[in-house]
Amino acid sequence: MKIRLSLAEKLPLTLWTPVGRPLFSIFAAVLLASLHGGLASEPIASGVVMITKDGTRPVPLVAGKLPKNSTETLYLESALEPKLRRASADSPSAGKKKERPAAPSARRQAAKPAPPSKVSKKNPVPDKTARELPTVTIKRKSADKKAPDKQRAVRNAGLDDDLEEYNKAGRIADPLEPANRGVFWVNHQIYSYVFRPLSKIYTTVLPRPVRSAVFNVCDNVEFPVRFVNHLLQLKFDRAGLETRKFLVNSVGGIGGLIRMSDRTPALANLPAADTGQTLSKWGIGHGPYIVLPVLGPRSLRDTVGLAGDYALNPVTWVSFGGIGGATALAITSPPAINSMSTRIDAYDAASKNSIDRYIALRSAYVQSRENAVSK
Amino acid sequence: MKPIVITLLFASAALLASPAPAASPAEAESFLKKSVGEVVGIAKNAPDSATLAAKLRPVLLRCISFDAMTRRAVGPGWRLFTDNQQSEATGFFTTLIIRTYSGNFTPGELPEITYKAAVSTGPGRVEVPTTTLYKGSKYDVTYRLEDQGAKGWSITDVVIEGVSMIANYRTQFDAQFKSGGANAVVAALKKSVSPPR
Repeated sequence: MKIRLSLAEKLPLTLWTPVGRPLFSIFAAVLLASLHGGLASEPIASGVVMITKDGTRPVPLVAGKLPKNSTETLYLESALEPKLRRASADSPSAGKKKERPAAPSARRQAAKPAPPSKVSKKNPVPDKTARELPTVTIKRKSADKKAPDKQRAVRNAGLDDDLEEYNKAGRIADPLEPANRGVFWVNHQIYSYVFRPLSKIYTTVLPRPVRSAVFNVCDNVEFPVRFVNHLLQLKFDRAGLETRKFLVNSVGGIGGLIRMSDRTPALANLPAADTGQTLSKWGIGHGPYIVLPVLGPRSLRDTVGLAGDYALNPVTWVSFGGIGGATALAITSPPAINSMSTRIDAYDAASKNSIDRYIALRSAYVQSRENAVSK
Repeated sequence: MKPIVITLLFASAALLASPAPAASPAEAESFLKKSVGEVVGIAKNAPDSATLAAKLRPVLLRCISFDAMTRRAVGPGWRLFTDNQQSEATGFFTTLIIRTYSGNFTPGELPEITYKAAVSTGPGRVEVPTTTLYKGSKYDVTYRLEDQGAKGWSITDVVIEGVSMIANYRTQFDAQFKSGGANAVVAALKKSVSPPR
């Protein structure tokens, strides 16, 4: 019995849980309100540069804004300046003069003639402080900056393709980052102190074959989600194979307990399909990145897709079919608990040994979804 | 007669100077199988995670190009790193990658790996897709390899379920670099490898 889950499926927790539904409704309302505010009041950056093989190059503003559709990675000049100062100081030619390069505002002032000093008018004695200060001559391409630039250019020759290679991978607009980081922190606590212990108990109590059987049944029941989305993506051959897989597992695999379809090569590696993928195939982009409470990372498109998957899932139909709370809980809990351990593993794999856990998860989510869409 | 001799001399010199024939995807695949086999062999016999990481280090240093990995993970900002910062960043990143890679293995639990045909993605570049069955779950793992000339083939990235290890670190380093330049990247790397996590 083999289990197959994409990373994106493993990361968030399912909406099946009775707790998930009200949380999702509340969050959607908060999201729309905060999104409106976040997008409307985005600050315009200034002092932005791009890195080229000859050093940094300022990015011109178009009508006071950064150019649209730029594929370059842009940096704040102020963040790079300390580095440029050190590089100049390290160069052999810089040994004679160790003055600090001035800030951009000071450079502009240096180009203008100095205004007459009020002090010097009143006091004819020469200003000692002014004499003691070194003469600062600032030129963009001065001799002491050329040397390290040249050395760097030689050292980095031929690396252009190398360094630009991963420029676009794992990127998504994140205008709600501060709020997202807050929700991410709460989720991390829930994962660490609630789900991880529960998952450990679950995996200790139930042996792997039993857990696999529970997963297989749940996966088999989700057949309509995949079937409908294959059709909506006009992948009729895959919809046919999905139907075959469902029949083989339901009949031959005793209601889906055993994944008999894995014995047929054509059915073993059938890519999954969901509503988020369908929206992507229809040309809808990710939209902003959102961290949903409990459920984890999503894009706006995939959040809408989640609602579609929820509507197509037979478990939802049953739980809304007038059955009692206890029965609904009995139906919805096994898939949620069963997938928890796999999702905790995936969460750990993506976030452990990261420099910034939040960004690591965001990048992993985007890459994983793009991979799913490309299949 | 003289021009013919000169032409022949130039031709032979050109032949001698020309690089060796490009290595084939099949060679990359066999290099990868050998390397992964070595790693799995160590994972099989390692008593605990610390021993596993220590034993894997020399093998991974041999078969992974950490220089290329670090450069690409940092991106265009790499041009502004001094020699010292580049070497520090490479050292820390090597330790981090080895820790990440060896952390994926539980001593005693062995993966079942099925190799698919290697695909050439450019001159001297090959991708080897595999399917790995590990702890009951099936994963698509693609290894990206490059021909490093005299050194032979090296692994330059590992893509698990579409998630590239290098692209993942790249997004993280970009944020660090934007906030504080090369120093911030090196400091963040140093912090991440310093405490036992």
